[in-house]
Amino acid sequence: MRGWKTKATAAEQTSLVTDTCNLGSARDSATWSTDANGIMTTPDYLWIFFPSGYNCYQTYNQQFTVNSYPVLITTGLQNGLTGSHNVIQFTASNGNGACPTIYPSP
Amino acid sequence: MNFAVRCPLTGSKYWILGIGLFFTINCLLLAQTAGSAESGVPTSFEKGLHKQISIFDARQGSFVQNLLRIVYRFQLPLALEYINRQAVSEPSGIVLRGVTARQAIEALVQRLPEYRVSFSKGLVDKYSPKARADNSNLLNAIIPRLDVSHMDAAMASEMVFDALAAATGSRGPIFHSVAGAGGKPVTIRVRQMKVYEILNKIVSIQGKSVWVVSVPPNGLSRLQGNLWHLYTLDPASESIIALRLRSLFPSSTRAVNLPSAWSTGDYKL
Repeated sequence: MRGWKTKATAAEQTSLVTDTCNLGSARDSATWSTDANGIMTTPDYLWIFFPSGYNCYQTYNQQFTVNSYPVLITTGLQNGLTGSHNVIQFTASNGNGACPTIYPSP
Repeated sequence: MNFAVRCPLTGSKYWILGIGLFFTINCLLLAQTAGSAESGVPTSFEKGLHKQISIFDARQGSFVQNLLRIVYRFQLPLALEYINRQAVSEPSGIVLRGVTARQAIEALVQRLPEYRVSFSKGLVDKYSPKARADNSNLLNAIIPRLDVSHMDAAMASEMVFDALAAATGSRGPIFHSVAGAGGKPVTIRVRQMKVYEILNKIVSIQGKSVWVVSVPPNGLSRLQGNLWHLYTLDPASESIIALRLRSLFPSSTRAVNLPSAWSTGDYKL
């Protein structure tokens, strides 16, 4: 969320792309404030509550807007991936979740 | 049976929670206690309630808009347990002079017969006695047990939702993507407590946030992802909340642009 030189409002939109878990509920559409450098002032916390015994996976697309304008997402110097949205995948094995994979995608 | 894994990803903190036979969040860090006025020294909340407003012009704007103006101007933690069409659409229609923030809030609430307000326990709590007496209202559901240790208030709020889902026998995973509230981490250990009481406790402990029911009255009995949300008292959240609540009743509302609570407009301290 860099590049904004005044405080702004960042908002996310997520959509379920693939689901073998039979999703119960989704709580998202979070909004963030940014500081004068365009940095989100608090993190995005992502997780899934898996009931016991679940063996499944879900994939979400996550997009952001800043002051209602769509923005690109980049990992910057980490590995140089840039895209219009994040792809987030959660997997569960016997109800135990692993850390999600998250990467920007065109 | 339960675990929390902090995933080492760059930029954000990612959590996966596995839930076993019982729903509980294991405490890993030291417990902390909420601040209070037991020492006789007024808390920042009490100081905020007693701030003087020389002129409060609430002729325009809805109850919700004007309530938010006050709590954001004076940084008062808020619980908005119930919302109906009247609260988001009808102008408050009052002008007050020489009142405290508390008196201004009370005057606003008096305009809405269905509502009450409480100032105890470190937050402004606006509620409906009728909704609290409704057993089908999920905010009245009792959570058998919930332990949260040193957690961001927004995450703690989400833990309450997961606990509610477990308590009501909901099946299927629950996806969360939430903005952190920042500020003071929350530690709570509750037993046999209602959902709204736990949320009030979280907001009161954190001290710089509000929780807002995000469904109309007829949606309170159905477990759905947007049942409530927790926001910070950051000024940017004020308009976001107002817009979101107004969108719940689309047919009868019109936008009213109020003077910014951060300008020198109506408030004169």
